Amino acid sequence: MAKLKPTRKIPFLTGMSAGLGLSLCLLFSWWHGISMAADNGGITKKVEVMASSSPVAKDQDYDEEYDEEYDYGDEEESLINDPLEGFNRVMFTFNDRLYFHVLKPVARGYRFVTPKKIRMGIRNFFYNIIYPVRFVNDLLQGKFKRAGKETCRFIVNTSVGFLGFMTPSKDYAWLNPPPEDTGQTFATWGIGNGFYIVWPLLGPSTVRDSFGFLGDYVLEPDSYLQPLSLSFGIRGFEIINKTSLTLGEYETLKESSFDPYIAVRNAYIQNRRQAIKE
Amino acid sequence: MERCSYMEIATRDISGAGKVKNIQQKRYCLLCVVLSLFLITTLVLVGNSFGATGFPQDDPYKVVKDAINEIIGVLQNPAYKGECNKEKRRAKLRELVYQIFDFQETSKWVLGRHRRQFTPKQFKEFSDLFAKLLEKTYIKKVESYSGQKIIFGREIKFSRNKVEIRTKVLYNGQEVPIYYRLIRKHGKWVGYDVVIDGVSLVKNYRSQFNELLRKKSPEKVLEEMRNKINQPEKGDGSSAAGA
Repeated sequence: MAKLKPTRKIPFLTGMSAGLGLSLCLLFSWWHGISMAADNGGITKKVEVMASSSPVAKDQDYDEEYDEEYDYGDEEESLINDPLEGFNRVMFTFNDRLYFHVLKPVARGYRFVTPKKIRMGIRNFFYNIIYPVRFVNDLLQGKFKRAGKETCRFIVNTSVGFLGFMTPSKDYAWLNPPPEDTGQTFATWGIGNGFYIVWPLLGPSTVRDSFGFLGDYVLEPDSYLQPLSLSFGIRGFEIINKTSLTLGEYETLKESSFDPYIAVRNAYIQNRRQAIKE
Repeated sequence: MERCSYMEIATRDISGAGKVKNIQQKRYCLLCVVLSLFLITTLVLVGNSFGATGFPQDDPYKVVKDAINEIIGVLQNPAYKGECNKEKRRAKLRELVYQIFDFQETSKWVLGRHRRQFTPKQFKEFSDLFAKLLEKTYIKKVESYSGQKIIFGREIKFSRNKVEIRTKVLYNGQEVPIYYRLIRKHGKWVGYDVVIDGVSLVKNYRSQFNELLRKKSPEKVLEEMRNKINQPEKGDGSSAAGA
């Protein structure tokens, strides 16, 4: 008999708690939706809700706002000087031919005989080994926390990841900071791009990034391999391996553009800009 | 009495006070249920009214996510797979892309101030040709999708009417950041730009058209676009799929 005592309240409690629970659950999910939206959008989202009571005014704002913006946006072009355009275009054509007639066939042959997993592993290995470039440049930019993360990443991937062939770090977002290089360091020191320059073999660059490239070269361990031919050979292999994983990307860019030279120049500048910002 | 309720059994067994308590509890119970039902309906109604004023329903984040999921659905649907279903598949993909992407908007951004040199008719043709060109070069990339993981990231507000939805695609073991930029046009969120690895499609084309339109008339540029679209597709085996 005594056992039944608690059950006596069950119907009452069930009705009460189920009802309240359900209501609370809905209330919570509703709030959750709002708070998530607020998290995503910050304060602006709340402003938006208030403003949306007058859709007419909103649409007017919108048209004004963006007619102005259609006009102002030529930042990218005005930021990069290209006084060597003639020379650069010749170099661009040279590199283009080199890609289609030498690098691409070699990379395709290599792709044919090498499993993708291995090629990815090799790419990871080379990325891991140039850890000093990222570490030193993190320090030079005062990003000490990031330098620590890079070090953790290097230790984890070198040990658990078999010399960096594998990337056990990839499952942890904080272990994957955006890579820094010397060109970016110069940029954070306030040094501008200078002008655009296309190097034979090395491809698109700017004056600043060319000096950055020299800095990277000094910091990359494979630069110190002896003899020099071995060092260059390994670099060549690295490039072939990398290209085998990106075949088709340059082709698409070229096919989809009206002036591939300008498309590549703009893509380079935009991409570098993003890297510097990160 | 065979079919008496659980509650009745419980009460009867415990005390003789029986009936009165029974009815009282029944009343509480009913009250609770009614109250909670009322609460639920109120909440649902409130929720909906928020939705109607533009709260969760026309959330740009959701717009992008749904569109991507739908496109993936088509790409993975056996009914749309293979060379024989190519036309059907492309028509469906086109429909989905046109639903979320506004190529007129994209074209406005691409042309910038040069748009003034275009007559409305020329501009219309420009935006159609531009959409076709993008389709021609990028459809194969889209079709080469084979279950790569897509990670949805943050939503960045540029202004009340402009947002960027950040995603990452795991491609060959590397995360490629792909950001979708949307604008609110007449209360509806539409895409106008895609930023891949920091490179905005609009800005890239803008730099090219700036150069072109400095030297050539809009008609000449349209001519060039038509020619480019009519070029035969390059059947080069090195598309992204195998890399």
